[in-house]
Parts: sequence; C-alpha cells; structure tokens
Amino acid sequence: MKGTTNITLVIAMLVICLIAPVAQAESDKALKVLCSTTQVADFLRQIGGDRVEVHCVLAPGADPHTYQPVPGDAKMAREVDICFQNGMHLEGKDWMRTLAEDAGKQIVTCSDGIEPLILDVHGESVNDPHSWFTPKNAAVYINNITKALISKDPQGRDGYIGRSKLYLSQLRVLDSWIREQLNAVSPESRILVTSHDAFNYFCAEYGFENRAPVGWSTGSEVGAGMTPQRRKEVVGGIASMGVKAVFFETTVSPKVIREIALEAGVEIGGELYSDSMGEEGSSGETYIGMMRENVLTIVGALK
Amino acid sequence: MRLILTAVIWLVVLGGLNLFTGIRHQRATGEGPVFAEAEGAFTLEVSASFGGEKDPFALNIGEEESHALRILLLGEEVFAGSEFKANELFVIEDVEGLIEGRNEFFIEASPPSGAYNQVHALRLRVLRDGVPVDQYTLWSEPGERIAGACEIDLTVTERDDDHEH
Repeated sequence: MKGTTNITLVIAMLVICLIAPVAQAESDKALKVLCSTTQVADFLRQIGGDRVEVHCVLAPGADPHTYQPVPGDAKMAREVDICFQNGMHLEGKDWMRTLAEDAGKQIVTCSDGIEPLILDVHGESVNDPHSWFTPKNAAVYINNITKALISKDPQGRDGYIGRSKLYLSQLRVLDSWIREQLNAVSPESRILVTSHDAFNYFCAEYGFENRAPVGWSTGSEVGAGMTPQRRKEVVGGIASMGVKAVFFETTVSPKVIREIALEAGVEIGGELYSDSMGEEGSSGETYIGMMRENVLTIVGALK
Repeated sequence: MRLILTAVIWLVVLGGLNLFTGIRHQRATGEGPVFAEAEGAFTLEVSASFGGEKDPFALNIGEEESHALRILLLGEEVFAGSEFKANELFVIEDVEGLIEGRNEFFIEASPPSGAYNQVHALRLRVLRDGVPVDQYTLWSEPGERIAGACEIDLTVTERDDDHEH
C-alpha cells in the first residue's frame, strides 16, 4: 500500500514537470482570428504579433467581390475566437458576415469610421469599399483592430498598443514617402487608368484622376462590371487627356486593359496590387510593400 | 525503500530549484535605489515650428485622447495637448517628479501630415526657480514625427549649454 502511494507521488511529480512547459507554450497564442482579405490579415499580424494566430479566407490574388465561401471556411469560422472583415460590401453579398454569423462569432468591420467616397452609379449611391488605399484610412483600420483585440484579450493590451504605435509611425512615413515620390509626376499626367474602379481613395488623396472600364466591383452588384459605355469613355479619355500608360491589376484579368491599350495606342505601365496583396515572398506580401510597389510602378510609368 | 529514496531526491531537487528561482525573482523585483526629489520650482518652456492639430496617424482607441504633443518625465506624463500655435512659446509650470541627478524627458510631437516635405523643430528649456538649467532642440525628418529624449543633469546646475540633436 505504502509502495503504491510512493509510486503515485513520483509519477505525479514527473507528470507536473512534463506538463508545465507545454502549458506555458500553448498560452503563447491567446487568440485565433479569421480575416476576409489579405490586407486585413496583414494588419492583424502586425498588431497581434505572436500572440494572435491569423487565418485568412482569401488567398493572395483572389477577388473578394466574387468569392464564394467553401465548407472549409465555415469550419475555420467555427474554430476561431473572432472574425474581421473590410466591410462596405467589398466582400460580395457580405459573405464574410454570413460566415461569422452562421458560426456565432463576433465580426469586426475594420473600415468603420472612415468617411466613404460615394460613387454615383446610374443615379444610385454606392459606398466605395476600397478604403485601405490611403495610409490615413489604414490608420483607422489599425485603430479598429487594436480596439477589438484589446476587448477580446485584455491581457495582451500593452503589446497590442506598442505594436500599433510602431505601425502607425510606419504608415505616417509611408504617406510622406508616397507624396515625395508622386511629386515626380506632373499634375497634368496624374491620370490613373486601371482595370476596375479600385483606386478612388488613392486618387483623391494624391491628386489623381481615375478611369476604369470596370465599375467599383467585378461582381454583379449595382454599378459593377463593365458596360460598353464605360469602356468607350475610358478609350476616349485616354486620347483626350494624353494618358501616358494604363495598368493591370493583380486580381482582375488583364484582357480588357490590354485591348484598351492597343485600341488607344498607349503603353502598359505595369501591374498594380489592388483588392489583394502579393504572394508570400513577393514584395507586395505586406500592406506597406504593396503600396510601395504600386507607387513605384505608377511613378515609373507616368513621370 | 528505493521509491522513497527517489521521491526524496526529487523533492530535494525540485525544492532547491524552487528556492533558487524564488530568490532570483525576489532580487529582480526588489526595490531599486531611492532618489531624492530635486529642490526648487521647475518650469518648462516649449516652442515648436508647427501648430497642434488632430493627428490622423494617432492611436485613438477610446481609452485616452490623442495629442499632438506629449512630454514624459521618467515615464510619467507631464504634458499632453494639441492646443499650441506655431512659433509661440508656451510655459508648463510647477513640473513635478524631477530628481537630484540625471533626469530624462521624452518628447513626441506630430507636425501636420500635409507638410510632408518640411523639416520641423521643437525647443525645450528647463528652468529651476526661474534660472535656465538646460535646453534642447529636437528636429524631425521631412514629414515625420519628432521623437527624442533630453537628459537633464541636476547635479550640475551651473551649466547652460545649448544642445542640438
């Protein structure tokens, strides 16, 4: 009897010694989150650090307007603590909200608080959802994400605030750098012709005019897609405004832009990251990298 | 008997380890040296080449209001505000928390974000009983924030050098 007690004691001590480090390691990841777009996921990684396990529904290069969720997305939504989306109907037919609500999870809309650009499409007003295209708006995303992470995981507060402050400083530098780079493009040459109408916030902030054959969405919503009239206006505009170059987008087929370039007799200026960031390992795999590469491509073609 | 001996050895090893980590933690969290509070009434004079305005890149999560200028002394906030004008001196009186010996002010300020190509400056002068003790000028890169630490040594009060950073 005495021997059994001793054995139990020794085994218990050994088990405690073995379990302690494992329990410590598991507590490193305090939160598991699911994001709709690659931009939102990058912001979460920047602010969450190693404390947050970030999953993203969209792969680099995928189009959020036309994405159809798969069963694996619903499973992932059930396994996470909180969901994040861009909002303003960027996620076509609100697929991210549906995923989160079906899984019974809180959803944070990162663009909340941004004054939307209103697009007038055939007499109807639509909020332009591509609001991350200025560092000032990206700062609003960061504030919303930081607030949500602190509310869900108060113990990580100091780390979330510290990382946010550093990232906001980087966004400020990015904004100054963009203005300095774009200074090389004369105001008359600041016309951005892209595949779809995604760059309105960027153009409004940095003094560009925007032209695109495809509307604010590549899907089937009001004002979305391409019409013969829009296409005609873009081709006519290129000639009348003396546009130097037109640009592909990473999430939209280059076919239409290629045809327009041939028709209007202008060069292809390069490919811009639009609704999705770049593949892992590419220069556009982060938000700051994506913005940097876009600006360098635009300046290189239009200056 | 062997099992009892094994358990005793384990207890001694674990107990010793626990004692060691406990002592180490006690040392690490022990109270540091106590500094004497500096005597006199301290005043800060601040002037900036830019006026305070809302910063679009501030952390604004509802817990505390963001400000265009913050001054910390040894980790404690001595000033936070946005209502100051460009090139106008403003005074912060009765600054508390300075100690005899070395003190450090940390200053962070956000010039207007539209002024992307301008270098900005902020000057801080520390006075003890109305007599200047030290002064610093902090500069920003074009379009960036001003952030820097200014060390004030109150063991040598007679110097009045103008440091440029």
